[in-house]
Amino acid sequence: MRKSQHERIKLKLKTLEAKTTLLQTEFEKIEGNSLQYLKQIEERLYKMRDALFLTKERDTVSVTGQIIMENIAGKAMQLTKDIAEKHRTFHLPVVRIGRCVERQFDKEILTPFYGPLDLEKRKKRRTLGYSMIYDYAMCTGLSSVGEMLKKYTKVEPKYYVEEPEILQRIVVDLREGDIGSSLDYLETYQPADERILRRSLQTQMITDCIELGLDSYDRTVRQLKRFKSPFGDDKQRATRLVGALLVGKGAMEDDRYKHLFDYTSREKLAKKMASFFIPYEAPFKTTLVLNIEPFILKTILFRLKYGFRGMTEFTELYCMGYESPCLLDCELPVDSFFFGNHSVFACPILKEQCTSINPPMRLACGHVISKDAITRLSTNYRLNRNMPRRV
Amino acid sequence: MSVPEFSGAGTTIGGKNSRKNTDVLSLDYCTFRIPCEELRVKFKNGQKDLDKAAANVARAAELLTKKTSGANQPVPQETLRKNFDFLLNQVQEARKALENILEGEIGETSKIIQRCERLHEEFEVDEKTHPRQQDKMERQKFARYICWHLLRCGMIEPARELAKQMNLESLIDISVFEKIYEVEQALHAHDTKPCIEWCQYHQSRLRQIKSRMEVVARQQEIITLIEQGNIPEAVAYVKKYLVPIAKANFSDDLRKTMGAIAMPLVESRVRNPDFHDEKRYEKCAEFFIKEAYRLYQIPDVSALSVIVQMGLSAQKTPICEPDHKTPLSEQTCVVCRPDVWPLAEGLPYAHVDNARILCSFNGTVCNDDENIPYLFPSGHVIGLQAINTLKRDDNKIWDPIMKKEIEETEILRLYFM
Repeated sequence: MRKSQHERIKLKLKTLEAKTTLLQTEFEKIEGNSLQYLKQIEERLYKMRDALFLTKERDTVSVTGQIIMENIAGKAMQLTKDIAEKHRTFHLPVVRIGRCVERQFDKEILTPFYGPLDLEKRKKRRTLGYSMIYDYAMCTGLSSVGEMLKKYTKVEPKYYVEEPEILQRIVVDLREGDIGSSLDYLETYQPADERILRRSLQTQMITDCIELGLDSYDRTVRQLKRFKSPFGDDKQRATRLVGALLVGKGAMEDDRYKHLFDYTSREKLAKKMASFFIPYEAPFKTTLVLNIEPFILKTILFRLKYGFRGMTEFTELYCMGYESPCLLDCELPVDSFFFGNHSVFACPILKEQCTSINPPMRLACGHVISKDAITRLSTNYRLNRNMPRRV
Repeated sequence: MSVPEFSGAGTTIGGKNSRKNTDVLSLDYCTFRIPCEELRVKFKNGQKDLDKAAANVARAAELLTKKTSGANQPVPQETLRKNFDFLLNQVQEARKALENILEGEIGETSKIIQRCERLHEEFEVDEKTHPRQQDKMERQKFARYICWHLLRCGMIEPARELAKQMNLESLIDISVFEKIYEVEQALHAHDTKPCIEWCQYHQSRLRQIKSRMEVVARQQEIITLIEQGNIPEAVAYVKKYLVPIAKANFSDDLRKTMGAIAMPLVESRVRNPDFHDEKRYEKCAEFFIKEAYRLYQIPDVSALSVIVQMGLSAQKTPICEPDHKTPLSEQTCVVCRPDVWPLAEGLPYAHVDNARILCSFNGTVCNDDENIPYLFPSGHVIGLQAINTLKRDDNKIWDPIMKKEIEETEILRLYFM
């Protein structure tokens, strides 16, 4: 049976780890034996020097002293030679580890692209790359990295995050399950989605309280008391949450309350909060600001996430024997992670995406197919015998 | 749009001559390749040091044994003292060398083991089994890719800070890139010494990959001497340093350099413009980076670039184009942003099996149940939800595109298969 990608990766990592551990054990053996022996010889030589040369009692070296000296010199010579010989035998394991990396891990990153994206060499693109990393750092609570990047890369002022300290606190607090700083911010600035956000934040806090137990209970009560209830017009949710609180941890498995527990919601909330601080000029703003209305369901976290998932799917596809040219009419060969922001129409006949050259057309029956499909159908055969040949 | 044939990105993986299966671990190639290379270099240099130490100890032991062999009477201390001290000194040196070598080698093997464990942990965690840890692992993964990218761009300090914040120090070889960056900066400052030292440290590997790096670095020194008019010293330099490394494999370089020395400076400038180029040190620095990447087998493209590409592709549709009209605050598609478009321009579109039609009026997704799509005379598709808000009296509908009232019969129902 074919192994899954994760299993394969784990196996590769284990193989490399095993080979390296074996070599490390050998190194440690030398460290434990030969090195200790060499140290002993060195100590004996020191003692011998003190006894034979640094004494004022006599100015000659006895015959016995000379024999011991000869003996120890021979041992030192033999030992260093043995160590060098022994060390030489590790050449093969060292080479094998290198080969293992070469064989098991691919040097070239397999992509469905035909030109490398240059985020390093061209100045303009490099700057864009830096600004994206700056945004990412600021949005994920790594403001020290962002500040450093600002200093070293001279990120343009138009990309600067407003009030980085507050953003850092909000992100870190949210990660730890504390919504106080976020609610404070919302109350002060009253952004457009304030109510929806407060509802999500408090839902998150209550579900955290259920999940983590009594430790967070006091905090939850304190924060619920401090801020006005956002569930005024969503009584059903409020009832469900109270129900879940009463059921306790069992609610996590209960069909009635299961949907309230969203484990990725903390990160989503952090991203949403971060979107208030990122200027519109920053490329990340567009990805962050999109999750407005039903933002719990429809969130673009980062293109990095989609990119990584895409790579995983693509490599898996290739591994399954996907040998034909990877670019299918300029399309990615994988589709499960699509998240475009425009309408897309894939012709049901030709399975091609419509473009301005090949636009979608409405048939008299109301069905929509591509212009190319119509051309082909009208020249070869009709889609339906009863269907008139007009559009 | 014509699509160039896919070359398999320089690999036969999955192809006819496939020997192995590829996977997403290729994004982490340099995470393992660099410590392996460092281990190899440390092992090679260590072996040399050990051989040298063993030979020195043997020599010292022989000298002492010569004096003590067949001892039958006491000898004055002075006779043996010098040889004894020499032996002690050599044993001490051998011990220190062995300690350093083992420390370096064990350090590198530990790094590889630790990295295997960390990555193993990352692949253990998935959304279903460890939902809480999934985000943390993803953050760690992306931070690692960003860190490698920053290092490749020479942003050592931000990368170091990121590694520190995300606890990635054991996964990233900052020191390797730091060294590379130092050498590059020195070359920009017309100083070839660090570069030559680096070349000597990696001598065996550079020889193996037939790199010209040391020759090029030495050439810069010679050209400086030529330009200063110091020909005798240039000749001496060539004899001492260039001939041993260039004689066998880079005879053309040697010949060219000797030619530059032999001919007058004015003529040399005409015949070898690249030798006397004002930007020769910049070019040398660029070449150094290339060779350093080749030595460590660092891929041409960073993992971050690939992921950004894949992510942009996932959001790219045939409709996407640089949108200069809409203000940035109202733009919804990241691909269409004029600043991002150059990155997305050459990328393939996302693959879509099923049509996903958005209402032209409110942007909601049209479907056959709640938001039935209708075609307006303007050619735009508007969902039923929006149409309900656009309805006027007398069976008329307000067309938001044409800005006029139209008859209900003018809008046509659409069916997407």
